Amino acid sequence: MDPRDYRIRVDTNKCTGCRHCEVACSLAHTGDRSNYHRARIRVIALEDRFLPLMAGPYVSITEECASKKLVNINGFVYDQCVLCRASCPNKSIFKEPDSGIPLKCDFCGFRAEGPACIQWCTSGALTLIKIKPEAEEEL
Amino acid sequence: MFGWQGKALRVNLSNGFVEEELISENLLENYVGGCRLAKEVARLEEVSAEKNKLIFASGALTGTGVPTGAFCSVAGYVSLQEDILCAPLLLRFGPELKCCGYDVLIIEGKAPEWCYLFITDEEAKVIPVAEMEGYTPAEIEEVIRSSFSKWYGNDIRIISIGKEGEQPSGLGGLVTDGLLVNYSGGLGNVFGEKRLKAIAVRGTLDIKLAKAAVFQKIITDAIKDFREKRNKLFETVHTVFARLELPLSREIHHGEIEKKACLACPIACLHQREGKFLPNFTVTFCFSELLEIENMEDALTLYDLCEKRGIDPVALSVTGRMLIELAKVGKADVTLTPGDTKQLVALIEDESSLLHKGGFWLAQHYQSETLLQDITKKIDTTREEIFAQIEEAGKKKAVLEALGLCPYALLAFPYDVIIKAFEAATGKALEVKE
Repeated sequence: MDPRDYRIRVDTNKCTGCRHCEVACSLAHTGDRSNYHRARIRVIALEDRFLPLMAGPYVSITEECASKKLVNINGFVYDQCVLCRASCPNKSIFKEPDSGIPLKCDFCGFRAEGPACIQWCTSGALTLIKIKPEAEEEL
Repeated sequence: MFGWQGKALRVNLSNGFVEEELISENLLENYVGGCRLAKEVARLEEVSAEKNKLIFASGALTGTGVPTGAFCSVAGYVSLQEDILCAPLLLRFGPELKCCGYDVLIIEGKAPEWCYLFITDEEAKVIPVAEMEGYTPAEIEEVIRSSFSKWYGNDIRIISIGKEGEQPSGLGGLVTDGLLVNYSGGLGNVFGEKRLKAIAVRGTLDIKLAKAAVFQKIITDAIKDFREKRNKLFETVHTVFARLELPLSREIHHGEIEKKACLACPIACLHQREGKFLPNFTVTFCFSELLEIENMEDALTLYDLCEKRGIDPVALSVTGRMLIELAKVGKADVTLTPGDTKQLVALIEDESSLLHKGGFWLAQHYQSETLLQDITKKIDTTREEIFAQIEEAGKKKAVLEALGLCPYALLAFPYDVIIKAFEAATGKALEVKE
C-alpha cells in the first residue's frame, strides 16, 4: 500500500486508553522489542477522553508557533499544543527515548497488512481510510 | 534474556542505598512472575514481622503486548494478619517498572522521615517529603507529577498510600494512578511502617522478545478472533451479572461513563466519571451484599472516602460485615446497622474504632474464624461464577497471574494461545506444576 493514499481516522469516543496501539507500533518498527516509549502514536489523556495522536514531522518551534490557540471539545478547553501532531522542543513525546531522534508516523508503509496500530486496536478507535479525489472510502 | 528483564532493584530506605541484582534464570523459569514470584522472593529474603520488606514482581508477559498483560504484584508481611499478603496492581505500574529494567523490586528498611521512591531506568532515589504526611493519594500524585514537565509527569506511574496506611490498621490499601487496589488491605500499612508514602516509576527501556515475528502473528490472529466474538463475550458477561442480580452495579455503571483499560486490555472493565474511577464489580458486590448499601449516592460517597483515605474497599466491607455479625450476637460492642453509611463513615473517621483492626484480627480476637471464612467465601463464589464455563479455571487463572495477565483474559482469549505467546516472547517452554 502507498501510505500517501491513506489516513488514520480516530474516534475518541471509542478509545479506552489501553495503548495497545503504542506497543504494536514499537514492535512493528523495532522488529523485536516492545516499548511504548518508542511509539509513533501516543495516547494522550484529556479530561474526559483519550486522544491517540500520530507523530507528525519535527518542527523547530518559534514564538510565532500557530499552536497557541485554544480548542473547545465537548465543553472542555484545550491548548492546541496538546492536539498538535508535530514533534517539537516543547514536547517530550514523539522522540526516541535514548537517541532523542524525532519520530514520524509512516503509516507502516513497509507492511503489506497496513498500520500495526490499527491491527491491534480492539476498541475501534482507529480505522484506516483511503483518500480518493472524490470521496473517502472506508476499508 | 527475553520477555523478562532479568534484574531486580533493591532499595534500603534506612540508608538510601540502592543496588541492582541479577535474577537467576532458574528462579524466573520456576516462578515466572506475579504473586508466585513475589512470595518466593519474600521466602528467600526471610520476610517477617521483624524483617519486613515490600516485594514487587511483574509478570513474564507484562508490557510485552499480550492482551491484558499489565499486571504486577506486591507482597509484604501484614502484621495484623500474621502472614505475607500479595495483591495485583492494575493499569500501568508493572509495565513501567519493567521499562525501568526490573522484574522485581525489593524495598527494605525504614526511612528516617516520610519519603517517596522515584525510579527511572537511569537511577533510583529516595526523596524525603515530610510535608506529605496526611496527604491523600490524589494530592501525592499531583505533587509528584507537578514537579516535572507536563509531558514527562503524565507518563509517571505512581503507587501511593493515604492516611489509613500511615497508621497501624488492617484496612490501609494502595492506590495506583487514582485507582484503589482491591485486596491490598494491610499492604498500605507496610508502606506506612517504612514511612514510604509513594513509589513513582518512569522508564524507557525495551522489552526484548525471543521470536518477535511469531509473537506478532499470534497476537494479531488472537485480536482478529477476539473482534469476531467480542459481542458474544460481552453477552456472556452481561448474563452472569444479570444472574447475580446486582442492581447497585447496574445503577453505578449506567449513564455517562468513560471506559478505561489497563495496558493492552481489549475488555476495558474499569469505569470513570468525570476523570474519577467508579467502584468495579467486586466492590459494588461487597458494598451491596456485605454492607447492604442499596443507594448509589451512599456507595459513591463511601468509595470516595476510601479513595481519599487509601482504604481497601474489599477489606472494609469484610471487616464491616464481621462487625455487623459480631454486634448481632453481642460479641463486639459497636453500633453498625447494615446499610447505614453514616455509621460506617463515623467508624472510619474514629481512628480508635474496631473497624481499623481488620477482619483477620476481629476473627482471631473474637474466635470467629468460621465467620470470616464464610464472608470471604461469599466474594470468591461470586467471582467464580464468571469463570464457571471455563475448564480448570482455577489453575489457568494462577498461570495467567504469574504471566502478568488479567484473569478476565481467559474469557476473551484461548488459554493455549496465551501459552504460545509466552513461548514466543521468552523462548522458553512453560511447565505448569500443581
